[in-house]
Amino acid sequence: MENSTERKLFGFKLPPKTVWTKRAKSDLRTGLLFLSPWLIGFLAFTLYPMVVSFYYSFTIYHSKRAPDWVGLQNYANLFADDKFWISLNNTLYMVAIAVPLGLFASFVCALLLNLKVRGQAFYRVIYFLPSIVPTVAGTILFLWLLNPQVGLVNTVLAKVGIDGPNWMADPNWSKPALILLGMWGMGGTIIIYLSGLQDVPQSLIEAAELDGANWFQRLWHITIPMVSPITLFNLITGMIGMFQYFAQAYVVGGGDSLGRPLNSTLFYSVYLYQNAFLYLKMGYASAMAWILFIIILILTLLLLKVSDRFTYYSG
Amino acid sequence: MIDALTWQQQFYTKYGVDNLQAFASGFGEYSSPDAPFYAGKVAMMVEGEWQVGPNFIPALKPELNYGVAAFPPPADHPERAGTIVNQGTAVVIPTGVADKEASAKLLAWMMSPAIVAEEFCYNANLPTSKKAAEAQCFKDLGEKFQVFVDLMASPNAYAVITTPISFELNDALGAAEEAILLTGADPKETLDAVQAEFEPKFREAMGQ
Repeated sequence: MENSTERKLFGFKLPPKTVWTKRAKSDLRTGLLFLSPWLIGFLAFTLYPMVVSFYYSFTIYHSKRAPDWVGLQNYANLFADDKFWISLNNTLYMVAIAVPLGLFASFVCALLLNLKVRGQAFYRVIYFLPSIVPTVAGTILFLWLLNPQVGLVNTVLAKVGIDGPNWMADPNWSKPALILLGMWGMGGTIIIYLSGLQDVPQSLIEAAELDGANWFQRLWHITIPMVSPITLFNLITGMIGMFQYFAQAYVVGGGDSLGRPLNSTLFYSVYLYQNAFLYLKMGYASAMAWILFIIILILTLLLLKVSDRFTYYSG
Repeated sequence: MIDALTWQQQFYTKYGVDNLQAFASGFGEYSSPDAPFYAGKVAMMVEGEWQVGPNFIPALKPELNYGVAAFPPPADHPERAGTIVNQGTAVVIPTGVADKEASAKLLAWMMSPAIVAEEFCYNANLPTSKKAAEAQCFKDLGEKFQVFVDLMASPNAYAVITTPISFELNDALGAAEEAILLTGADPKETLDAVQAEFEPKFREAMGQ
């Protein structure tokens, strides 16, 4: 028999109505008090900037004067801006190549680090160490390693008869060089994969072994599906991070040569930074930020939607 | 500017873009003993007066044997002798400032000869007025610094106008230079395109 006090909205069941006793009110106050550091931080440093930047994206705003409302002008100008498309293309290149490559390399490294060999802990530390090197220091180190004239990489290549490229100074090689730098610091992704690999039930592996499955078959039919939620997590966080790619490109550009050579390192966030903080076009940069937010949101939802087909949740 | 870039472009054609890029990549950092001019990798440089001051060449490469001279004018334009571009740091009072009068007083104090001498001598920067240039500390910076001071009085001394679009314009000119040198783009066409894009922005920035 249906409960006559059950509350519904558009056919959906609602939780029972709260009875605001003195105790309940006191609990709410205490709860909010404990939540307040996060709540205040969220409201002041996330929600407020987002709402305000949405408003600014419809204005011309130089930060020193009150914003002038221009409607959709910033968005229209962006779509006619060559540098906007160059920066978006450069970023998509990184998302399309660096993210899958990083996932693949991290997975392979995690597989190796999961092998029961002598010195396993040592190898794990060695692979993880680069990821705790500060981004700026790591990038400067790579600028030296990849220096066309005096860098270690080209020196070694020359020893085996290969004329190394100009790396960061060559528009065709600057992005691959940055991908190389990114892969050096993939320790965090390796650790996440490693934890996933350790959760793969040994019983399944042993059962497959007894059935005569070889190493590759066990990997393909058991390990990879079992770590697929980890792959999805790494894919989404990697994609979001790559869309916001900034620090390494900023260090390579040295501040006053951002995007060089020939705009090959002009990534979306770099161009956004230029507009906001160098050209003082806050409204234009806000419009860029909202377009980026929408692109990331759509791609994330799309990935979550299609992930049903390749993600296996054992629970 | 077109002639200068065309002249510069010939070296990229002659020696190859990759080779020159590789050569330039071996240059050290700007304010370090490995800077290309200090290390003898380039024969001359277009630089500012601070180079002769205590924080640059005398500190980073004291043994460097070098001289300072104004640009020689083109043979067919002797009247252009003493051409120099001065670029200063703009100190501004924002329109939204709470106390404009106090800000103006602060600005006037900052530009007073004694304070200018005290601040600008420290890094060997050119003073902002003739009166300030009379301070002994500028004279103590030596003959090389005096070349710059004298050039300030040249009828061919120009000042760069600092506007809200200066950064954007500099970036666009830098990108144009890159395109001309690295891709062989036509200097006139490339610079014309920059001018066409920025002239309206410049006029707007100047309130015209």
